[in-house]
Amino acid sequence: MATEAHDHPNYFMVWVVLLLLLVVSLAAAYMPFSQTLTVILIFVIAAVKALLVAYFFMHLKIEGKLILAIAIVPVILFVIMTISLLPDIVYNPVETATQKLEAPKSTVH
Amino acid sequence: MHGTQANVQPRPEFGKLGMWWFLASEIMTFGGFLAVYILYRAASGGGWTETAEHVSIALGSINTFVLLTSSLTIVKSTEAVNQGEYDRAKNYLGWTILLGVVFLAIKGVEYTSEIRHGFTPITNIFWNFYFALTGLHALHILVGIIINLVLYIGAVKGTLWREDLGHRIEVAGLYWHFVDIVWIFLFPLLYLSY
Repeated sequence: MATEAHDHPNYFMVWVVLLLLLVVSLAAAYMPFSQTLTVILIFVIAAVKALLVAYFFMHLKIEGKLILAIAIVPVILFVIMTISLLPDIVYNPVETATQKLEAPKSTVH
Repeated sequence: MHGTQANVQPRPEFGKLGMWWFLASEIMTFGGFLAVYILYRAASGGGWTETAEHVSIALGSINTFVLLTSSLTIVKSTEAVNQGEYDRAKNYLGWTILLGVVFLAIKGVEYTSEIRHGFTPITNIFWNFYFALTGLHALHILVGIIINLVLYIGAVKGTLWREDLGHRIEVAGLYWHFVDIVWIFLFPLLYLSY
């Protein structure tokens, strides 16, 4: 990533990259890719965008180990929580999740 | 005692540390919510697609652009504080507030259009998640605007600089960037994955 000096990252360039990534994720969503590929692409791009914001704008690039730990631990907990709930919700789906949802027609109900 | 220089450093460090600690709890707040949504969506096997297609990708994209830009303006404000350019810092903070208001206005237009077309929080489980997640996020934007506004008033009056409290813009910026990151994930989760 372009940096002007050690403690003065080029914020403008980071912003340009973030906008480019937004355009790429939109392009990925409209491309005739398989659904799996589209989902992987848009979430990898979202993760990269989040990391760019955290690393440059939130200064994780230059922060000490303590703040890094405070930032990373809950993210790991989130991943563990999501994975540990997989069997309960996805592999043994509850009815509220699997029912087919229809768009309401213009009529009031 | 190690002399008088010791009282210069700690204050901004404490503020930053406190904010990061708070953001860690925020990750779990949004995380719990997002985890349930992600898992239910995964379990739905595509059954939500038809209803989820009715979100406005155009307005969602514009709002993503608005928030990413507001992140740039508040980090430029912090940079200006560190360089002692207080007038520039104040202006960048003002732009950040304005962009936050623009975000909420666009969100309001979206909500209005959706509700008028019959998509409300009780329409079905997708729209229930949609309104809850974006509503909680919008509430965070509102809080961020208020924090930034308080700092902006201090900057206009000059008290922020006289009392050497410019680092508060960096702390407020951490919160603002976090709310931006939440949106970075909400956008593909709610708008793009149908």
